Amino acid sequence: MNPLHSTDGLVTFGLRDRWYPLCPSGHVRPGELVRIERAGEQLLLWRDAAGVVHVQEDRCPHRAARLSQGVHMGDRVACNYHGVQVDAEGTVVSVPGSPGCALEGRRVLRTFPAEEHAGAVFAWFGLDESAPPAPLEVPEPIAGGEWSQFLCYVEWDAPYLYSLDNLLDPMHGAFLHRNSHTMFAGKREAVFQIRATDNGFVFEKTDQRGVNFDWVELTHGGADWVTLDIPYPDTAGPGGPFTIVAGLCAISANRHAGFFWRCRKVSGWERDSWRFLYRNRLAARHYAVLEQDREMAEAMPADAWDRENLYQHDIALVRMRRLLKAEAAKQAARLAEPATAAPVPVA
Amino acid sequence: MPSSYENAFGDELEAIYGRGVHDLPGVVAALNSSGVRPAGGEDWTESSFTAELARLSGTEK
Repeated sequence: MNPLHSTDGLVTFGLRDRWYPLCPSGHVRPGELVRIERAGEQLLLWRDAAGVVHVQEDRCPHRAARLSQGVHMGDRVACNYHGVQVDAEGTVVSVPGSPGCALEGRRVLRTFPAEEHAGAVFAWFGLDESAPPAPLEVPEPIAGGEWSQFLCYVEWDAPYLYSLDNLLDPMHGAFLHRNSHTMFAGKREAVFQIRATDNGFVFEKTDQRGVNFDWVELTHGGADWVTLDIPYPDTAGPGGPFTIVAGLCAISANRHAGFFWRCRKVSGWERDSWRFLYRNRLAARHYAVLEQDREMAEAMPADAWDRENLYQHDIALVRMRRLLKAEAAKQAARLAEPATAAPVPVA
Repeated sequence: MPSSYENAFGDELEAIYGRGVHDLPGVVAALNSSGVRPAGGEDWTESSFTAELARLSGTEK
C-alpha cells in the first residue's frame, strides 16, 4: 500500500493539500535535471528555457526509468532509455521509437504546481491532483517589503517531526542554547499559554517577553509555517530582534529539509549594517546554534514519541500532533473512498 | 573570505553597537575614534559610512 494513503504515512511524510519548500532555488541550475525526494515523492526538478521551475515525478511514463537521467531539451525532458519526450505539463510530446503511438499527446506524467519564493522552490502536493492548488501565502517577514531576510537551508538525519517539536518548544532555548550569542538570557522556569489564531495558534510565555525564545506561532493552512522571535544582543546593531520563519519538508521517514529564513525588519543604513554583519559574523553564530539543535534531533531515538512524559511546556507539541493526526486521518479516509472516475485504459 | 579590513570594520561595529550606540551620528563619531578608516585614510562622515555599508552589504548597485 502506498504509505501516503495511510494516516501514519501522511504524518510521517507530510499532509497533502499543502505547499512544501523543496530546496533553495540555486539548487536547480539552468539546463540541469535535478532529482530529489521530498514529502514521500521522488521528484524531478528542472527549469525551462525561460527559467521557470517545474516539479514532476521522476518516472518516465513509458517504463518508469528516471527522467532525471535523461536529457534537458529546453522546453521538455527526454528519457535516456527510449527517448520518450515529456513537456512541462506532463504531456508526452514525442515517442521517437514509435511515432503516432497512443502515448503521444497524453498527459500522463504527474506534475506538481511549483512556485519560487524567498529563494526557495515550493511545490503543491494535492490530495486530488487534478484540483487546482490553494494560493501560496507566505508569512509577512518573507513577503518582501520592509523586511530583510537570509535563507539558511539544512538537511538533517531526523524525522521532520522532531524539528517541528523543537520549534514548538521555546523553553529549550534557555537550556540547550544557554551559551549562544542570542539565548543566554531568560528564566529557566516559565508558564506558557496557547492562544488560538485564525489559522493555527501562538504558544507563549505568560511572564516573559523579548528576553529569550519566548513565543512561537504555528500557521497551519495552505502551507505550514513556524514563526518566532529571538532577541539580538546590542552587538547586532539597531533593528530589534530577528525573526525566524521556518518551513520543513520530509525527505524520507528519517531525514528532512529545513528552511530557516532569518529576518529582520530594518531599512536604510540599519538594513545594510545588519546584512554586512550577518555575512561577516552572525551567519556563523546562528549556524552554531542550529547545530546544537541538529545534534539533539539526530541523536533522538526512533521511538521518541512512544515513551514520553510531557509536562506543561509541551502543550504546543500536543496541540500540533493532534492537529496533524486528525487531518491525516481525514485525508487517509478520503483517499480510501472508491474512485468515482473510471481508470484510463492502457493504450 | 572576508578581507582583513572587513573583519576590522566588523570588529569595530560590534564593539560600538555593544556599548549601546545605535544612532547614526553616534556610530560615525565612535568609528572616527577607532583605528578603522576608509581606504583614503580620511574621517568617516555619515554619507561615507552609509555608502560603505551599502557596498559591504551588497546593496550598492
